[in-house]
Amino acid sequence: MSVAAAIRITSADEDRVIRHAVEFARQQSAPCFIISVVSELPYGAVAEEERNVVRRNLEMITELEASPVMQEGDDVAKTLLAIARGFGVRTLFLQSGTSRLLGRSIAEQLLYLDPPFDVVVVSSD
Amino acid sequence: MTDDRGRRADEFLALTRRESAKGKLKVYLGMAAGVGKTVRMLDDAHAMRRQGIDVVVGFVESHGRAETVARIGDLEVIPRTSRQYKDVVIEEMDLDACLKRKPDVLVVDELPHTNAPGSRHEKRWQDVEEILGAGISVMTAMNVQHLEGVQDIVRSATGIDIRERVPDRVIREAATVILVDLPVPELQERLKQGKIYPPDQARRALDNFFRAELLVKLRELALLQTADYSGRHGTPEEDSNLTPRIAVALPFEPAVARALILRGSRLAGRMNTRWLALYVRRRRDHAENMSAAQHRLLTENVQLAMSLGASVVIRESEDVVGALLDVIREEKVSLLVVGRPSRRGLLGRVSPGIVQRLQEAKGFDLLIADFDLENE
Repeated sequence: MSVAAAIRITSADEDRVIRHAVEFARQQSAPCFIISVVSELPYGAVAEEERNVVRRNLEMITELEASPVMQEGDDVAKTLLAIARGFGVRTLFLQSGTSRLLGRSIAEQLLYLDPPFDVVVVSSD
Repeated sequence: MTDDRGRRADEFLALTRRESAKGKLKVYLGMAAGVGKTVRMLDDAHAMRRQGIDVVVGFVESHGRAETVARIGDLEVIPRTSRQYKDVVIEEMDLDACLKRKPDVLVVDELPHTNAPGSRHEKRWQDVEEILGAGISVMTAMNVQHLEGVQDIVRSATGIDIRERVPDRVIREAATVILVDLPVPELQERLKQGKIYPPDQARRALDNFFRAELLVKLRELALLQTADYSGRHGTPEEDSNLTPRIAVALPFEPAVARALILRGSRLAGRMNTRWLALYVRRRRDHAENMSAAQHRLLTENVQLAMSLGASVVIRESEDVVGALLDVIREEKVSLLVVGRPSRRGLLGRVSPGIVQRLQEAKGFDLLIADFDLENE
Protein backbone atom coordinates (compact mmCIF):
# COMPACT_ATOMS: atom_id res chain seq x y z
CA MET A 1 0.00 0.00 0.00
CA SER A 2 1.25 3.47 -0.80
CA VAL A 3 0.57 7.14 -0.13
CA ALA A 4 0.06 9.71 -2.87
CA ALA A 5 -0.52 13.41 -3.28
CA ALA A 6 -2.32 15.01 -6.19
CA ILE A 7 -0.87 18.34 -7.22
CA ARG A 8 -0.82 20.77 -10.12
CA ILE A 9 2.77 20.51 -11.23
CA THR A 10 2.63 24.04 -12.63
CA SER A 11 1.46 25.54 -9.33
CA ALA A 12 3.91 27.19 -6.96
CA ASP A 13 1.61 26.51 -3.99
CA GLU A 14 1.95 22.75 -3.67
CA ASP A 15 4.74 22.57 -1.08
CA ARG A 16 2.38 21.96 1.77
CA VAL A 17 0.45 19.06 0.27
CA ILE A 18 3.68 17.41 -0.94
CA ARG A 19 5.34 17.70 2.47
CA HIS A 20 2.27 16.47 4.35
CA ALA A 21 1.98 13.43 2.08
CA VAL A 22 5.70 12.62 2.35
CA GLU A 23 5.65 12.95 6.14
CA PHE A 24 2.56 10.74 6.38
CA ALA A 25 4.15 8.12 4.11
CA ARG A 26 7.25 8.08 6.31
CA GLN A 27 5.13 7.50 9.38
CA GLN A 28 3.42 4.62 7.62
CA SER A 29 6.68 3.29 6.15
CA ALA A 30 5.04 3.47 2.74
CA PRO A 31 6.25 4.71 -0.65
CA CYS A 32 4.96 8.12 -1.70
CA PHE A 33 3.88 9.15 -5.20
CA ILE A 34 3.23 12.74 -6.21
CA ILE A 35 0.70 12.68 -9.02
CA SER A 36 -0.03 15.48 -11.44
CA VAL A 37 -2.84 15.18 -13.96
CA VAL A 38 -2.38 17.51 -16.90
CA SER A 39 -4.37 17.97 -20.06
CA GLU A 40 -1.07 17.99 -21.96
CA LEU A 41 2.29 17.03 -20.60
CA PRO A 42 4.01 20.31 -19.77
CA TYR A 43 7.41 19.69 -21.28
CA GLY A 44 8.18 22.30 -23.86
CA ALA A 45 4.60 23.56 -23.87
CA VAL A 46 4.72 25.95 -20.96
CA ALA A 47 6.04 29.43 -20.43
CA GLU A 48 9.47 29.95 -18.89
CA GLU A 49 8.03 30.92 -15.51
CA GLU A 50 5.85 27.80 -15.34
CA ARG A 51 8.76 25.67 -16.44
CA ASN A 52 10.74 26.97 -13.47
CA VAL A 53 7.87 26.09 -11.16
CA VAL A 54 7.70 22.57 -12.62
CA ARG A 55 11.45 22.21 -12.14
CA ARG A 56 11.26 23.42 -8.53
CA ASN A 57 8.39 21.06 -7.75
CA LEU A 58 10.20 18.10 -9.27
CA GLU A 59 13.37 18.96 -7.35
CA MET A 60 11.46 19.11 -4.09
CA ILE A 61 9.69 15.81 -4.78
CA THR A 62 12.94 14.00 -5.46
CA GLU A 63 14.73 15.67 -2.53
CA LEU A 64 11.99 14.36 -0.27
CA GLU A 65 12.50 10.92 -1.79
CA ALA A 66 9.02 10.73 -3.26
CA SER A 67 8.27 9.63 -6.80
CA PRO A 68 6.77 12.08 -9.32
CA VAL A 69 4.04 10.74 -11.58
CA MET A 70 2.59 12.75 -14.47
CA GLN A 71 -0.41 11.60 -16.40
CA GLU A 72 -2.38 13.13 -19.23
CA GLY A 73 -6.09 13.28 -18.68
CA ASP A 74 -9.06 15.64 -19.06
CA ASP A 75 -11.13 14.40 -16.12
CA VAL A 76 -8.84 14.96 -13.14
CA ALA A 77 -10.87 12.96 -10.62
CA LYS A 78 -11.32 9.90 -12.85
CA THR A 79 -7.68 9.98 -13.91
CA LEU A 80 -6.52 10.24 -10.30
CA LEU A 81 -8.72 7.31 -9.37
CA ALA A 82 -7.26 5.18 -12.16
CA ILE A 83 -3.65 6.03 -11.27
CA ALA A 84 -4.21 5.57 -7.56
CA ARG A 85 -5.71 2.15 -8.15
CA GLY A 86 -2.76 1.24 -10.33
CA PHE A 87 -0.25 2.27 -7.66
CA GLY A 88 -2.10 0.63 -4.78
CA VAL A 89 -2.69 3.95 -3.07
CA ARG A 90 -4.25 3.72 0.40
CA THR A 91 -4.22 7.45 1.20
CA LEU A 92 -4.39 10.31 -1.28
CA PHE A 93 -3.59 13.89 -0.27
CA LEU A 94 -5.19 16.85 -2.05
CA GLN A 95 -4.99 20.58 -1.53
CA SER A 96 -8.28 21.99 -0.23
CA GLY A 97 -10.38 23.60 -2.95
CA THR A 98 -8.15 22.32 -5.76
CA SER A 99 -9.60 23.03 -9.24
CA ARG A 100 -13.27 23.49 -8.70
CA LEU A 101 -15.54 22.25 -11.45
CA LEU A 102 -19.18 23.35 -11.34
CA GLY A 103 -18.75 24.28 -7.68
CA ARG A 104 -17.24 20.95 -6.71
CA SER A 105 -13.65 20.53 -5.59
CA ILE A 106 -11.51 17.68 -6.90
CA ALA A 107 -11.89 16.03 -3.49
CA GLU A 108 -15.67 16.16 -3.77
CA GLN A 109 -15.56 14.83 -7.33
CA LEU A 110 -13.27 12.04 -6.22
CA LEU A 111 -15.42 11.11 -3.22
CA TYR A 112 -18.42 10.96 -5.53
CA LEU A 113 -16.60 8.17 -7.39
CA ASP A 114 -16.31 6.20 -4.11
CA PRO A 115 -12.56 5.62 -4.27
CA PRO A 116 -11.09 2.60 -2.46
CA PHE A 117 -8.72 4.76 -0.41
CA ASP A 118 -8.69 7.53 2.20
CA VAL A 119 -8.73 11.09 0.94
CA VAL A 120 -6.88 13.75 2.94
CA VAL A 121 -7.85 17.34 2.22
CA VAL A 122 -4.86 19.49 3.17
CA SER A 123 -5.65 22.89 4.58
CA SER A 124 -4.13 25.76 2.64
CA ASP A 125 -2.70 27.42 5.75
CA MET B 1 -10.79 0.29 33.57
CA THR B 2 -9.85 3.81 34.48
CA ASP B 3 -9.40 6.83 32.29
CA ASP B 4 -6.60 8.44 34.19
CA ARG B 5 -3.49 6.96 32.62
CA GLY B 6 -2.28 10.41 31.74
CA ARG B 7 -3.49 12.04 34.89
CA ARG B 8 -1.31 10.75 37.62
CA ALA B 9 -1.06 12.15 41.09
CA ASP B 10 1.95 14.23 40.15
CA GLU B 11 -0.08 16.10 37.54
CA PHE B 12 -2.55 17.06 40.22
CA LEU B 13 0.35 18.08 42.41
CA ALA B 14 1.59 20.33 39.65
CA LEU B 15 -1.82 21.92 39.51
CA THR B 16 -1.94 22.48 43.24
CA ARG B 17 1.51 24.02 43.27
CA ARG B 18 0.65 26.62 40.68
CA GLU B 19 -0.03 30.09 41.94
CA SER B 20 -3.76 30.32 42.09
CA ALA B 21 -6.23 32.08 44.30
CA LYS B 22 -8.57 29.11 44.10
CA GLY B 23 -7.85 25.51 45.01
CA LYS B 24 -8.16 22.71 42.45
CA LEU B 25 -10.78 20.01 42.63
CA LYS B 26 -10.14 16.34 41.86
CA VAL B 27 -13.18 14.08 41.72
CA TYR B 28 -13.19 10.27 41.98
CA LEU B 29 -16.36 9.14 40.22
CA GLY B 30 -17.85 5.67 40.51
CA MET B 31 -20.99 3.77 39.57
CA ALA B 32 -21.92 2.66 43.09
CA ALA B 33 -20.74 2.23 46.65
CA GLY B 34 -17.93 -0.26 47.04
CA VAL B 35 -16.04 0.25 43.78
CA GLY B 36 -13.05 1.64 45.68
CA LYS B 37 -13.30 5.40 45.25
CA THR B 38 -12.31 6.28 48.80
CA VAL B 39 -9.50 3.73 48.91
CA ARG B 40 -8.11 5.03 45.63
CA MET B 41 -8.40 8.62 46.83
CA LEU B 42 -6.55 7.81 50.06
CA ASP B 43 -3.83 5.96 48.16
CA ASP B 44 -3.33 9.06 46.04
CA ALA B 45 -3.27 11.21 49.19
CA HIS B 46 -0.45 9.10 50.61
CA ALA B 47 1.44 9.39 47.32
CA MET B 48 1.11 13.16 47.46
CA ARG B 49 2.35 13.35 51.01
CA ARG B 50 5.39 11.28 50.08
CA GLN B 51 6.16 13.98 47.56
CA GLY B 52 6.10 16.66 50.21
CA ILE B 53 2.56 17.93 49.80
CA ASP B 54 0.64 18.85 52.92
CA VAL B 55 -2.38 16.52 52.63
CA VAL B 56 -4.96 16.29 55.38
CA VAL B 57 -8.19 14.32 55.75
CA GLY B 58 -11.13 16.66 56.30
CA PHE B 59 -13.72 13.91 56.27
CA VAL B 60 -13.69 10.26 55.27
CA GLU B 61 -16.62 7.96 55.88
CA SER B 62 -15.38 4.39 56.27
CA HIS B 63 -18.88 2.83 56.55
CA GLY B 64 -17.19 0.39 58.89
CA ARG B 65 -15.07 -1.04 56.06
CA ALA B 66 -11.75 -2.24 57.45
CA GLU B 67 -10.06 -1.67 54.09
CA THR B 68 -10.97 2.02 54.16
CA VAL B 69 -9.96 2.53 57.79
CA ALA B 70 -6.60 0.90 57.09
CA ARG B 71 -6.02 3.16 54.12
CA ILE B 72 -6.28 6.32 56.23
CA GLY B 73 -3.20 5.06 58.06
CA ASP B 74 -1.09 7.87 59.45
CA LEU B 75 -2.65 10.68 57.43
CA GLU B 76 -3.54 13.65 59.60
CA VAL B 77 -7.29 13.71 60.23
CA ILE B 78 -9.12 16.84 61.32
CA PRO B 79 -11.48 15.93 64.18
CA ARG B 80 -15.16 16.02 63.30
CA THR B 81 -17.61 18.40 64.86
CA SER B 82 -20.82 17.18 66.52
CA ARG B 83 -24.27 18.61 65.97
CA GLN B 84 -27.33 17.82 68.01
CA TYR B 85 -30.43 17.25 65.90
CA LYS B 86 -33.55 16.31 67.85
CA ASP B 87 -32.48 13.25 69.84
CA VAL B 88 -29.43 12.34 67.87
CA VAL B 89 -25.89 13.63 67.66
CA ILE B 90 -24.58 13.85 64.11
CA GLU B 91 -20.89 14.04 63.28
CA GLU B 92 -19.96 16.36 60.46
CA MET B 93 -16.81 17.72 58.86
CA ASP B 94 -15.51 20.66 60.85
CA LEU B 95 -15.42 23.24 58.06
CA ASP B 96 -13.91 26.01 60.17
CA ALA B 97 -11.17 23.72 61.48
CA CYS B 98 -10.34 22.68 57.91
CA LEU B 99 -10.13 26.30 56.79
CA LYS B 100 -8.00 27.21 59.79
CA ARG B 101 -5.60 24.29 59.22
CA LYS B 102 -5.25 25.35 55.55
CA PRO B 103 -3.39 22.35 54.08
CA ASP B 104 -2.33 22.22 50.43
CA VAL B 105 -4.83 19.45 49.78
CA LEU B 106 -7.86 18.37 51.78
CA VAL B 107 -9.55 14.97 51.39
CA VAL B 108 -13.33 15.34 51.61
CA ASP B 109 -15.32 12.17 50.99
CA GLU B 110 -18.97 11.93 49.87
CA LEU B 111 -19.46 15.15 47.99
CA PRO B 112 -23.28 14.84 47.69
CA HIS B 113 -23.77 14.53 51.47
CA THR B 114 -26.46 16.66 53.12
CA ASN B 115 -25.16 18.36 56.26
CA ALA B 116 -26.98 18.26 59.57
CA PRO B 117 -29.39 21.12 60.20
CA GLY B 118 -27.60 24.09 61.69
CA SER B 119 -24.49 23.62 59.55
CA ARG B 120 -23.24 26.63 57.63
CA HIS B 121 -24.13 25.02 54.31
CA GLU B 122 -26.91 22.63 53.50
CA LYS B 123 -24.70 20.47 51.26
CA ARG B 124 -21.11 19.26 51.49
CA TRP B 125 -20.39 20.35 47.92
CA GLN B 126 -21.07 23.89 49.17
CA ASP B 127 -18.51 23.33 51.95
CA VAL B 128 -16.08 22.20 49.27
CA GLU B 129 -16.72 25.32 47.22
CA GLU B 130 -15.88 27.45 50.26
CA ILE B 131 -12.69 25.42 50.86
CA LEU B 132 -11.64 25.79 47.22
CA GLY B 133 -12.35 29.50 47.44
CA ALA B 134 -9.91 29.68 50.35
CA GLY B 135 -7.14 28.38 48.09
CA ILE B 136 -7.16 24.81 49.40
CA SER B 137 -7.26 22.01 46.81
CA VAL B 138 -9.74 19.22 47.41
CA MET B 139 -9.90 15.52 46.57
CA THR B 140 -13.40 14.18 46.77
CA ALA B 141 -15.49 11.16 45.76
CA MET B 142 -19.03 10.54 44.62
CA ASN B 143 -21.25 8.15 42.69
CA VAL B 144 -22.56 9.09 39.29
CA GLN B 145 -26.24 8.87 40.19
CA HIS B 146 -25.87 11.96 42.36
CA LEU B 147 -25.11 14.20 39.41
CA GLU B 148 -27.94 16.59 38.70
CA GLY B 149 -27.62 16.15 34.94
CA VAL B 150 -28.33 12.41 34.91
CA GLN B 151 -31.41 12.39 37.09
CA ASP B 152 -33.82 11.63 34.23
CA ILE B 153 -31.80 8.59 33.25
CA VAL B 154 -31.37 7.43 36.85
CA ARG B 155 -35.06 7.85 37.57
CA SER B 156 -36.11 5.91 34.47
CA ALA B 157 -33.62 3.13 35.21
CA THR B 158 -34.15 2.82 38.95
CA GLY B 159 -37.48 4.40 39.70
CA ILE B 160 -35.65 6.17 42.51
CA ASP B 161 -35.64 9.90 43.02
CA ILE B 162 -32.14 10.78 44.24
CA ARG B 163 -32.34 13.62 46.75
CA GLU B 164 -28.65 14.25 47.35
CA ARG B 165 -27.59 15.87 44.13
CA VAL B 166 -24.49 17.71 43.00
CA PRO B 167 -24.79 20.38 40.30
CA ASP B 168 -22.97 19.36 37.14
CA ARG B 169 -21.06 22.63 37.09
CA VAL B 170 -19.16 21.57 40.24
CA ILE B 171 -17.75 18.59 38.36
CA ARG B 172 -17.30 20.48 35.11
CA GLU B 173 -15.07 22.94 36.92
CA ALA B 174 -12.96 20.17 38.43
CA ALA B 175 -9.31 20.04 37.41
CA THR B 176 -9.50 16.24 37.15
CA VAL B 177 -12.25 13.63 37.08
CA ILE B 178 -11.13 10.06 37.63
CA LEU B 179 -13.32 7.08 36.94
CA VAL B 180 -12.99 4.38 39.58
CA ASP B 181 -14.37 1.33 37.88
CA LEU B 182 -15.00 -2.29 38.72
CA PRO B 183 -16.67 -4.98 36.58
CA VAL B 184 -20.25 -5.55 37.70
CA PRO B 185 -19.81 -9.22 38.72
CA GLU B 186 -16.78 -8.26 40.80
CA LEU B 187 -18.71 -5.53 42.60
CA GLN B 188 -21.57 -7.94 43.31
CA GLU B 189 -19.06 -10.46 44.64
CA ARG B 190 -17.59 -7.84 46.98
CA LEU B 191 -21.10 -7.13 48.18
CA LYS B 192 -21.80 -10.83 48.82
CA GLN B 193 -18.55 -11.11 50.76
CA GLY B 194 -19.72 -8.36 53.10
CA LYS B 195 -17.00 -5.96 52.00
CA ILE B 196 -19.48 -3.19 51.26
CA TYR B 197 -22.48 -3.63 53.56
CA PRO B 198 -23.34 -5.93 56.49
CA PRO B 199 -24.97 -9.23 55.33
CA ASP B 200 -28.65 -8.20 55.77
CA GLN B 201 -28.15 -4.92 54.01
CA ALA B 202 -26.10 -6.63 51.28
CA ARG B 203 -28.91 -9.06 50.50
CA ARG B 204 -31.40 -6.22 50.17
CA ALA B 205 -28.94 -4.28 48.00
CA LEU B 206 -28.53 -7.21 45.59
CA ASP B 207 -32.29 -7.19 45.04
CA ASN B 208 -32.44 -3.45 44.59
CA PHE B 209 -29.71 -0.99 43.72
CA PHE B 210 -27.08 -3.66 43.04
CA ARG B 211 -29.07 -5.58 40.43
CA ALA B 212 -26.77 -6.45 37.52
CA GLU B 213 -28.81 -4.67 34.85
CA LEU B 214 -28.97 -1.52 36.94
CA LEU B 215 -25.27 -1.58 37.74
CA VAL B 216 -24.50 -2.01 34.04
CA LYS B 217 -26.55 1.10 33.32
CA LEU B 218 -24.87 3.08 36.10
CA ARG B 219 -21.46 1.92 34.93
CA GLU B 220 -22.24 3.18 31.42
CA LEU B 221 -23.33 6.47 32.90
CA ALA B 222 -20.16 6.84 34.96
CA LEU B 223 -18.06 6.07 31.92
CA LEU B 224 -19.86 8.55 29.70
CA GLN B 225 -19.82 11.28 32.32
CA THR B 226 -16.12 10.83 32.97
CA ALA B 227 -15.43 10.86 29.25
CA ASP B 228 -17.47 14.02 29.01
CA TYR B 229 -15.47 15.77 31.72
CA SER B 230 -12.06 14.45 30.73
CA GLY B 231 -10.25 16.37 28.04
CA ARG B 232 -11.74 19.66 29.17
CA HIS B 233 -8.88 20.55 31.42
CA GLY B 234 -5.86 19.17 29.64
CA THR B 235 -2.62 21.08 30.02
CA PRO B 236 -0.91 20.38 26.71
CA GLU B 237 1.07 23.60 26.97
CA GLU B 238 3.06 21.94 29.76
CA ASP B 239 4.38 19.32 27.37
CA SER B 240 4.05 20.04 23.69
CA ASN B 241 5.01 16.45 22.85
CA LEU B 242 1.77 15.34 24.43
CA THR B 243 -0.36 17.75 22.44
CA PRO B 244 -3.06 15.78 20.67
CA ARG B 245 -2.63 15.96 16.92
CA ILE B 246 -5.14 13.45 15.64
CA ALA B 247 -8.84 13.62 16.31
CA VAL B 248 -11.59 11.32 15.14
CA ALA B 249 -15.07 12.76 14.69
CA LEU B 250 -17.49 10.05 15.73
CA PRO B 251 -20.80 9.83 13.93
CA PHE B 252 -23.94 8.56 15.61
CA GLU B 253 -23.90 5.33 13.56
CA PRO B 254 -22.19 2.85 15.92
CA ALA B 255 -20.63 0.63 13.24
CA VAL B 256 -19.06 3.60 11.44
CA ALA B 257 -17.95 5.14 14.75
CA ARG B 258 -16.26 1.87 15.73
CA ALA B 259 -14.43 1.65 12.40
CA LEU B 260 -13.25 5.25 12.75
CA ILE B 261 -12.05 4.64 16.32
CA LEU B 262 -9.97 1.70 15.15
CA ARG B 263 -8.59 3.74 12.25
CA GLY B 264 -7.77 6.68 14.53
CA SER B 265 -6.03 4.42 17.01
CA ARG B 266 -3.89 2.85 14.29
CA LEU B 267 -2.97 6.23 12.82
CA ALA B 268 -2.06 7.62 16.23
CA GLY B 269 0.05 4.56 16.93
CA ARG B 270 1.97 4.94 13.68
CA MET B 271 2.36 8.67 14.18
CA ASN B 272 3.30 8.15 17.82
CA THR B 273 0.93 10.81 19.01
CA ARG B 274 -1.99 11.26 21.37
CA TRP B 275 -5.45 11.26 19.88
CA LEU B 276 -8.92 12.43 20.63
CA ALA B 277 -12.30 10.90 19.90
CA LEU B 278 -14.82 13.70 19.44
CA TYR B 279 -18.53 13.21 19.69
CA VAL B 280 -20.90 16.11 19.24
CA ARG B 281 -24.20 15.16 20.76
CA ARG B 282 -27.28 16.76 19.31
CA ARG B 283 -30.59 16.86 21.11
CA ARG B 284 -31.87 13.99 19.00
CA ASP B 285 -28.88 11.88 20.12
CA HIS B 286 -29.61 12.27 23.85
CA ALA B 287 -30.05 9.12 25.87
CA GLU B 288 -33.77 9.61 26.24
CA ASN B 289 -34.17 9.75 22.46
CA MET B 290 -32.29 6.58 21.68
CA SER B 291 -33.01 2.93 22.22
CA ALA B 292 -31.29 0.93 24.94
CA ALA B 293 -29.35 -0.93 22.24
CA GLN B 294 -28.14 2.32 20.64
CA HIS B 295 -27.14 3.67 24.04
CA ARG B 296 -25.22 0.51 24.81
CA LEU B 297 -23.38 0.66 21.46
CA LEU B 298 -22.51 4.29 22.00
CA THR B 299 -21.15 3.46 25.44
CA GLU B 300 -19.17 0.55 24.06
CA ASN B 301 -17.60 2.84 21.47
CA VAL B 302 -16.62 5.37 24.12
CA GLN B 303 -15.15 2.55 26.17
CA LEU B 304 -13.31 1.20 23.12
CA ALA B 305 -11.82 4.63 22.32
CA MET B 306 -10.67 5.09 25.91
CA SER B 307 -9.23 1.60 26.05
CA LEU B 308 -7.28 2.42 22.87
CA GLY B 309 -5.79 5.46 24.53
CA ALA B 310 -8.04 8.22 23.21
CA SER B 311 -9.12 11.19 25.21
CA VAL B 312 -12.86 11.24 24.61
CA VAL B 313 -14.44 14.65 24.29
CA ILE B 314 -18.22 14.93 24.18
CA ARG B 315 -19.78 18.28 23.36
CA GLU B 316 -23.43 19.25 23.40
CA SER B 317 -24.38 21.27 20.35
CA GLU B 318 -26.79 21.41 17.45
CA ASP B 319 -23.96 22.89 15.35
CA VAL B 320 -21.77 19.83 14.83
CA VAL B 321 -19.23 21.52 12.58
CA GLY B 322 -18.90 24.55 14.87
CA ALA B 323 -18.38 22.34 17.92
CA LEU B 324 -15.81 20.19 16.10
CA LEU B 325 -13.90 23.28 14.97
CA ASP B 326 -13.90 24.62 18.53
CA VAL B 327 -12.28 21.44 19.86
CA ILE B 328 -9.82 21.30 16.94
CA ARG B 329 -8.70 24.82 17.76
CA GLU B 330 -8.57 24.28 21.53
CA GLU B 331 -6.69 20.99 21.30
CA LYS B 332 -4.39 22.01 18.42
CA VAL B 333 -5.54 19.11 16.26
CA SER B 334 -3.69 18.89 12.96
CA LEU B 335 -5.47 15.89 11.41
CA LEU B 336 -9.19 15.25 11.73
CA VAL B 337 -10.47 11.82 10.68
CA VAL B 338 -14.07 11.56 9.46
CA GLY B 339 -16.22 9.05 7.63
CA ARG B 340 -17.44 9.45 4.06
CA PRO B 341 -20.04 12.17 3.51
CA SER B 342 -23.60 10.92 3.49
CA ARG B 343 -24.79 13.67 1.17
CA ARG B 344 -23.45 13.37 -2.33
CA GLY B 345 -24.23 14.71 -5.77
CA LEU B 346 -26.81 17.44 -6.12
CA LEU B 347 -28.01 17.18 -2.52
CA GLY B 348 -24.46 17.66 -1.27
CA ARG B 349 -24.08 20.76 -3.41
CA VAL B 350 -27.44 22.30 -2.52
CA SER B 351 -27.14 21.53 1.18
CA PRO B 352 -23.54 20.73 2.18
CA GLY B 353 -23.23 18.17 4.94
CA ILE B 354 -20.74 18.02 7.80
CA VAL B 355 -17.84 16.63 5.76
CA GLN B 356 -18.34 19.13 2.94
CA ARG B 357 -18.32 22.01 5.41
CA LEU B 358 -15.23 20.70 7.18
CA GLN B 359 -13.38 20.68 3.87
CA GLU B 360 -13.79 24.44 3.73
CA ALA B 361 -12.26 24.97 7.18
CA LYS B 362 -8.64 25.96 7.66
CA GLY B 363 -5.87 25.04 10.06
CA PHE B 364 -5.97 21.23 9.88
CA ASP B 365 -5.96 18.37 7.40
CA LEU B 366 -9.12 16.36 6.90
CA LEU B 367 -8.81 12.62 6.38
CA ILE B 368 -11.97 11.23 4.83
CA ALA B 369 -11.70 7.55 5.59
CA ASP B 370 -12.63 4.68 3.36
CA PHE B 371 -13.22 1.47 5.21
CA ASP B 372 -14.85 -1.86 4.83
CA LEU B 373 -17.11 -2.19 7.85
CA GLU B 374 -16.97 -5.96 7.59
CA ASN B 375 -13.21 -6.03 7.94
CA GLU B 376 -12.46 -3.15 10.29
